[in-house]
Amino acid sequence: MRKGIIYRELYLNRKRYIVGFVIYVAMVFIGILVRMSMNFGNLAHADEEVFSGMDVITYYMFTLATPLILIISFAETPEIIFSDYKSNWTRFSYTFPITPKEMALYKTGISFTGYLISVIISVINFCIFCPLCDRKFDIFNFKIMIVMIFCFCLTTATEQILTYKFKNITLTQTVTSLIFTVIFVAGGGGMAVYISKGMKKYSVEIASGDMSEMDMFLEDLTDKLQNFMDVFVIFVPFLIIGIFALEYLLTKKILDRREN
Amino acid sequence: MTDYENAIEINNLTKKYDGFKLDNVSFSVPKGSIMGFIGQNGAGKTTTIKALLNIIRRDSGTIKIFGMDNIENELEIKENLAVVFDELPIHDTLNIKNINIIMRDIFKKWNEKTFFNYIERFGLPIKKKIGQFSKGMKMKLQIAIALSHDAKLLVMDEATTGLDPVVRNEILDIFLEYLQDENNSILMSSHITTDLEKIADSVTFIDKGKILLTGYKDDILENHGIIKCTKEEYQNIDKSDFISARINDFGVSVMVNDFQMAQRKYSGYIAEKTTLEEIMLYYVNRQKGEWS
Repeated sequence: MRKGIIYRELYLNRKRYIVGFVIYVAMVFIGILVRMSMNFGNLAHADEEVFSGMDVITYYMFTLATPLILIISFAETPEIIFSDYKSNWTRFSYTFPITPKEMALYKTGISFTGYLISVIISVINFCIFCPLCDRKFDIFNFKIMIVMIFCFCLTTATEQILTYKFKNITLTQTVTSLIFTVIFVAGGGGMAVYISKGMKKYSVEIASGDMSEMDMFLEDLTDKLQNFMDVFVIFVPFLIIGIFALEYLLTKKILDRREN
Repeated sequence: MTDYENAIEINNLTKKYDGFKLDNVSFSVPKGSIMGFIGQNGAGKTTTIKALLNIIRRDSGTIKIFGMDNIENELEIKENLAVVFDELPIHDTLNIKNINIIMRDIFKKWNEKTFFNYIERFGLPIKKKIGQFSKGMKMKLQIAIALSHDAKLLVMDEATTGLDPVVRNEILDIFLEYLQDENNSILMSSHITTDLEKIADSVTFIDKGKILLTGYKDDILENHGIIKCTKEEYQNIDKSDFISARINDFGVSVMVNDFQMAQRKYSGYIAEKTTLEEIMLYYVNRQKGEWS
């Protein structure tokens, strides 16, 4: 085990880990203070609108915002890969008695471990804060969190691979943004087309003020999305493992090719 | 490692780029010696070194280090090889303590005691971030790293470029010390020929991707020389006898590669010994024939 390589990655990322952890603790601490005030302090006497607003804010902060902070702080960023190129560390590492396979394994392993830690903390976080916010285990939000983790994993993996490819941080970020904009526009556009088709189909009913057909159509759409999400969430762990496997293979291939 | 005669053996190394070709490069660095690898910027020194280190893939040719193929036996070779680049290839935010922790797991034979001895000898601060080091300090640190894992071959790519003469001398002394062990060898690429003149046993001169000269430094310096004459006398010199001629208002200086013969043949002319720098200059201008 090359502890030195792991130590280097962790040391170079240390500021991000510390800042992320401090923000996480601060958010949880502030959230707890607000919840305590809602139960025993001034906010307990606030009017219903303010109370329910605070309730929703703290709930989403605990269950979705804090996991996001953790994932962002633990994920390997293209900045480190880029600075490895800039400082010529990548070239220097080619002179070490380490195979590209081993190097890629360490890089992907560190990245994967970061994800795993943040996912575990996020799940524990979720299990603790749902009851604290007077809710049962909210399976819908849990699924959203899992999908969010997947999306972030996909984004950072794409960024990492593109950084190796382009060796230019601006180009990497531009291309990554373009790729995900295209995906977002394609997905959102598809949805918009589907809804507009439904509106066209039920245009007579809508014009007459009878929304029941349209409501049924939208309900059907929501059910379909729910069903898709139910199936998708089952595949997320496999997809994440697949992404990391692909990231490992591509990193290895890029490191193996070395310089032109 | 099996017994070997040459630390490095390069044969017919070829690598093509758009606008540049490393063309059938061949030379060898005998075990226990220091070879100077000379050439102007863009001549192909770094490309050759990158191919040697398997940082770039060669198109054809063979490269043997310690008698082994540099690709097939890459890991074993790199365990016994150290590289010094022109810039310290380590993040500015790290300090010497961090570097020791990283390196001790990379090289099996990493010796902390040797490393910190060099650090103490060079007077480098242990806890200071290396981003705050001067160029000389960074180079010394790179040399300390290179010499702390019992490497049998030291490859340096323009390592002394940009350093002041005091630091350069200090570093050259370290290399001579390193060569006290007859199993150790050095390939030192540089365009500062005075450094190589001081310490190199042999010299290889590359220009536009081709090897022009390779051999023992003393032989090269002995075989080459300058013949000085007037412009009129220059007309009597056989063009096949010289590499190139430098013409100025005061006369003509001609570089010959058979100095003994030239001294006999042109006995009335002034004959002077030459330096590696002059040899490099005259060879670079060989295609022009005459230059000023």
